[in-house]
Amino acid sequence: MKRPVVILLLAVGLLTALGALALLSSFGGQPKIERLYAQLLWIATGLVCLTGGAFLPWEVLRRWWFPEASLLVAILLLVAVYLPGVGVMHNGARRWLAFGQPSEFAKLAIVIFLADYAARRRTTMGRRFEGFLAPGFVVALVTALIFFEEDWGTACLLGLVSFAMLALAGTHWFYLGSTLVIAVEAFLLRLLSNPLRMDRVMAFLEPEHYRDGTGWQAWQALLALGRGGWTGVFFGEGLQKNGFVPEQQTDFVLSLIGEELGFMGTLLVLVLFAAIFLCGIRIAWRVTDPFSQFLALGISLLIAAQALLNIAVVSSALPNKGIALPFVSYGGSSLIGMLVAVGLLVGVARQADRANGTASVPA
Amino acid sequence: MLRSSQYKLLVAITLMMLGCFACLGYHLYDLQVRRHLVLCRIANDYTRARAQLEPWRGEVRDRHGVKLALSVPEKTVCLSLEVCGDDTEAVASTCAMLLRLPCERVRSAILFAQHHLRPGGKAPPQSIELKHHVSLEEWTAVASAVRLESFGYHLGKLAPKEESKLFKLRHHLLSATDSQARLYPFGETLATLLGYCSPADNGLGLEGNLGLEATYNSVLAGTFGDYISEKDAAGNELPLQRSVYHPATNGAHVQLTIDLPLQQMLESELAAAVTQSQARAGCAVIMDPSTFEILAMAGVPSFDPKKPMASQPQDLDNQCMTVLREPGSVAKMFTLAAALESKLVTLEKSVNCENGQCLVAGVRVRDHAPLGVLTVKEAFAKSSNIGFAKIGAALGPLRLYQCMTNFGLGQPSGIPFFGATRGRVIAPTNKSMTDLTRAAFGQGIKTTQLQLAIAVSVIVNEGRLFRPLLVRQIESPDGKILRKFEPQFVRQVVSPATAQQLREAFKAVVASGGTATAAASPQYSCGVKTGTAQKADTNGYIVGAYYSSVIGFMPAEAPRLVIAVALDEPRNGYYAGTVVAPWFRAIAEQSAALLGIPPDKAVAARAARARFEVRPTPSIHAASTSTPRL
Repeated sequence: MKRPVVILLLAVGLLTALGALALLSSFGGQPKIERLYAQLLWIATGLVCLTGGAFLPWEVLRRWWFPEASLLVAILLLVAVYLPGVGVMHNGARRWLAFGQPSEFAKLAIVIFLADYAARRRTTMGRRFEGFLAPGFVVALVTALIFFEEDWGTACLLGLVSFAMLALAGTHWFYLGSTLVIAVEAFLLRLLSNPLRMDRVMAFLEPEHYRDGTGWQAWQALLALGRGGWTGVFFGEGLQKNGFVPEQQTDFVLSLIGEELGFMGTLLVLVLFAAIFLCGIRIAWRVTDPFSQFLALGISLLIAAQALLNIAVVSSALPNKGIALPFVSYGGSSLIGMLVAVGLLVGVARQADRANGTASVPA
Repeated sequence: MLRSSQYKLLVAITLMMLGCFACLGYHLYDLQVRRHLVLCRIANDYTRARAQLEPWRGEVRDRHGVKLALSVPEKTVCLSLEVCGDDTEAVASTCAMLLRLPCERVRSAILFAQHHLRPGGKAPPQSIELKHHVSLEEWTAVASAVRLESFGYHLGKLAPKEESKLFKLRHHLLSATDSQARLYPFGETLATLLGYCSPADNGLGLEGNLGLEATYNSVLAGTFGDYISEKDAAGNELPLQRSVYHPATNGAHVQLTIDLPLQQMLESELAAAVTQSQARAGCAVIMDPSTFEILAMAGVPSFDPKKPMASQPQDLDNQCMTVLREPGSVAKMFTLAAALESKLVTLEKSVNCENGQCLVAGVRVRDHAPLGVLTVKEAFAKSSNIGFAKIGAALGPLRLYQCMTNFGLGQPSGIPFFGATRGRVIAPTNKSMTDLTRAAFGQGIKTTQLQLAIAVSVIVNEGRLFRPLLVRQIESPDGKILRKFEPQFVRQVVSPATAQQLREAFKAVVASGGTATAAASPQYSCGVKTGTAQKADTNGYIVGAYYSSVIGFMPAEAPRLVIAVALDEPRNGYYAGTVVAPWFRAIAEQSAALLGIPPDKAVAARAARARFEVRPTPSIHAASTSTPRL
């Protein structure tokens, strides 16, 4: 399985490089270069973690209650965010600890946990308690914790990925269907009682009316994308980056790429993510070990779904929510978490090759 | 190994995800390629910076180059709302203290902007204008003072975040944009001639509103430059993105023929005259008859060009060029000129003045005193209405009208000036005999004081009319002369012989027996004509309201100056010979002193010559006029 791994790593590398270039361009000639150094440092750290993940002795991931332990740590970190003095408020959302966002770690932990859980109880996943209530409770707990730190984007993403993983693992469709209905109702109830979110949804529905207020960011991002045309205004020549699109280095980085590199740039990003997703599915398809299969599936779904959500938000196809574009957005914890996930994916491929007796990645 | 149903689900999920990718791809295509032009245009509205560059308004100078009106840079102080943030109270009180504004006003301005200019808090940060017309010195002081302010922070112990906030407040809270203010260093001096400036209607630059500022607005204003560029969200231009750039062309400087020392002397004398005679208004002109340059032009009342709106509207009028009055007996010079030119009379021919009252051509004409048989020259000197009504009747309407028109009455003076009027002389076609008789001694026609001064200049200048000059030259900002105004011959109004006779008649007015003996100076000889006109309104002549004027030239032989002085409704007496003539004399003597004109009367001349030999005074006037004497 040499080819999927090479394509995967190539795509990830290209996206990471594109992210660093976009970050450089976003300064607009202003000497804020320390952000670029920080991002490069994180990329380096992430690559080390990726290599670590790829060469991880596979048994470690499932021995000593590792999945359960990491999930517990993730939950504790998520709880810590709520503690006054520990969590950091930013833009009305309480989702940061001193070193980064624990939700990034929680995403990975829950994917590993679900993969391990589904692999262990392969035969009993159709039952109500083992197949639905137990994993469902864990997922609901983590999702709710993330949801209530006002990180709705990540909560939705996690819910969707867990939903797909449980469905694949064999949970009965009736349980999943009824949970989906309840979750949507709870979500709507919460939405109606939260004026900020409601404003964002209204801004999404009526962009003209809200364009200078709540819809400013989405509207300016739309304009930036629209200015790009086929080939863009050229690297570094974007104009909407001069304070018009807030958070353009992080969540809205695609609008910068779309303006400066045009439709060709955004298409390249889309194609690269599709390639990453397909490589992940291909790896999942080829391995025989159920844990590896579920893990590869969960990770590829995670990356692809996050990318889709982000691109949909930036291009105003979905209401605005804070979610980063994997590998491209500026930010340490998101980047490192995603690179670790890619490392695990490569590890799955290596492990499958070892089982088949061929070496795909040079040691 | 998964079950086959699970593989099917996997395929379904994969296809669904790929479908999502495809849909997003199409959405992006729609956005970026199909709606490219529409969105690009809207985006440009946000990012394109288009601005006009304001030219520097040119100066108005006197004939020696002294600046009478000039533009000085000033600042408009702006406050950045982004930097201000939540520290409204501290910022408002500090800024109010620094800029000497009421604290409450600053606070409400900030609060208003915060709540109305930034709906939802996501729009780009804006700044508000706090104070206009701030001088450069004040801005420098404010800018350095704000760097030391504490903005309510305790300077001793500051968290790093507070420290950076304080740094921002100190260095980026206040900014200033450039503008220009019009400065008139001599205040009310020349105000009715120069006019004033106010901000233009489109909010860009200054616009002349009155006087020369309005007349020469296109010359002084220069042309606006512009640029097309891009800006950031805060509205700052990005200089590297500038695509079109036309620099502004600064306005040209206008140099007047006005002589500032002479002007100041004239204004103070006129102000004294108006005060002493308790007149409503007054005006005075000094001209150089050889070049027809206007050396000084004063009017009372005047106004403060800094705040013109504080004055009454009629105070803004230029009394010499825009106010029309009946000239009264001064107009007898036109009748005499026409009669002499047509050889109808000579100065020595006698005319019966009928002891002060008689009917001439059906009009009852009165003299101010009963006069008997006089020569024409004596009639002119004693200003006999009856004598001149008779001469006018003998002349006939056409000749009198032509003579007045030739002198420039009822016609544009040739000086472009905002609001200048041409006056009124009734044309002979519809002129009844009554009108003619009255016009012969100055009733029923209307002139400006400047037109009369020009007419006397014609008489002094051997009957030749030149185009009067108020502007000497127009200079480009870099000192190149764009246009130079030279004396320009217009027409021969009367023959030199007639002009010579007229000068004799003028001199007789000052001699004993004339109406203006008070104008005679012991040092300088001169020739004048007085006029005491009863003022008229729509219902006829007003009892007790007079317009008294004296107009003449000095020295009598080889005249250098033509001086016209007029008082509107003087209350301490009204005869021009007693109310105005002494001021004419004072102005004439001081002008001569300022311009270095040597006394020409025998007694004084000897003493003065001795003085001049010891300490020769360089003639200001002679040095400044390079034009040859015409």
